[in-house]
Amino acid sequence: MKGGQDRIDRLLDKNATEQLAKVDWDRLTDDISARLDHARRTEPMPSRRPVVVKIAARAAAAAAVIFVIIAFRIRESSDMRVHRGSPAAEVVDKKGAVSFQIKDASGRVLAMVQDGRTDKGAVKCDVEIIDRNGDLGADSSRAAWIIISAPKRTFVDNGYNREEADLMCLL
Amino acid sequence: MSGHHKNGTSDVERLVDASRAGDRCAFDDLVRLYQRRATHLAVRLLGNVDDATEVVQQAFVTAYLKIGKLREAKRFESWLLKIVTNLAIDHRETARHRSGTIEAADCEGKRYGSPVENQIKTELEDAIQRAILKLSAKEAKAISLFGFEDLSHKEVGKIMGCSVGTARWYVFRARRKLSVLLKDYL
Repeated sequence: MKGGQDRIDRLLDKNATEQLAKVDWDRLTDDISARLDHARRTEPMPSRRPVVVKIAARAAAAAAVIFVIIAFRIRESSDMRVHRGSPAAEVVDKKGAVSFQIKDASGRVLAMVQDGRTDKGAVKCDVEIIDRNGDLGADSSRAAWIIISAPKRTFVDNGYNREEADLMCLL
Repeated sequence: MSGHHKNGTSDVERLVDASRAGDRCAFDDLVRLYQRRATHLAVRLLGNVDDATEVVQQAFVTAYLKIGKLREAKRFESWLLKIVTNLAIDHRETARHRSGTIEAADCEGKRYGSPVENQIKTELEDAIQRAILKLSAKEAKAISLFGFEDLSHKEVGKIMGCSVGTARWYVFRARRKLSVLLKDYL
């Protein structure tokens, strides 16, 4: 068996050697160069953003999605009603976390997610509820998309400042 | 690869750093340094020089576009060879699915050989190419890396991301299959 293995190895070596002997290396170099020229024209070189920024952005995106899902679950599980166009949103920044409240026109809290720690500050945001299927009826508890936007870019130093800024942008 | 050894690691690192900074001439130097080694590996994985040179061209374009993601310049060679391996495996899988044989790959002709050489594609070359395509991807990768500049089972396992025993097993199975498929030429 060992002899058979050696013969296979020799056969593959011989084939590789013979195949490589056929290559016109200068021509291959030119062809690669032409492809690189084409690639440079058609595809932008990737940016070299630090990995930490990319990780932070992805974490912020995931946090934002979870955040909105939690907010809607709380809203849907309660008997509170959100009237179209009337609510306001308040994003409360805390050290290491962001809390979120939706209030009606009278200031009543309709939904809230927070981690229980002391508030350090608040950012007022505008909220718009988009009904995909026309006006909400008497039962206004069905799901709808919301847009929450801060009047200006806010950057809070919470020890993870980039994540909070990114989260605000994503929201 | 004599060019690589002659130039030394520090020169390669300098070229990689310059390439990352957008110096196209530096990357051309890297192409000249590594194209033979890359083609050698691709030939072992694919069995023929035409598919191999195609894969090598793709590999250098990929490396050029992604060189900013390479964290350690000194790892350029292993990074490039990994790109070659992955592209070659993709290429052979496409060829296998396309026809189950290598005829389709042969249609393009031997671009990189001389006209006379192109006409003389030996029966043995054809048989080897067919046999390599009948190996599984892991078997082809293992036997190619093992035969490529005498890498050890341990090094093959490291590149393939498996244990030494598993790498040894893939090499053994590949040899056994090739022994059967190429018995008329042994």
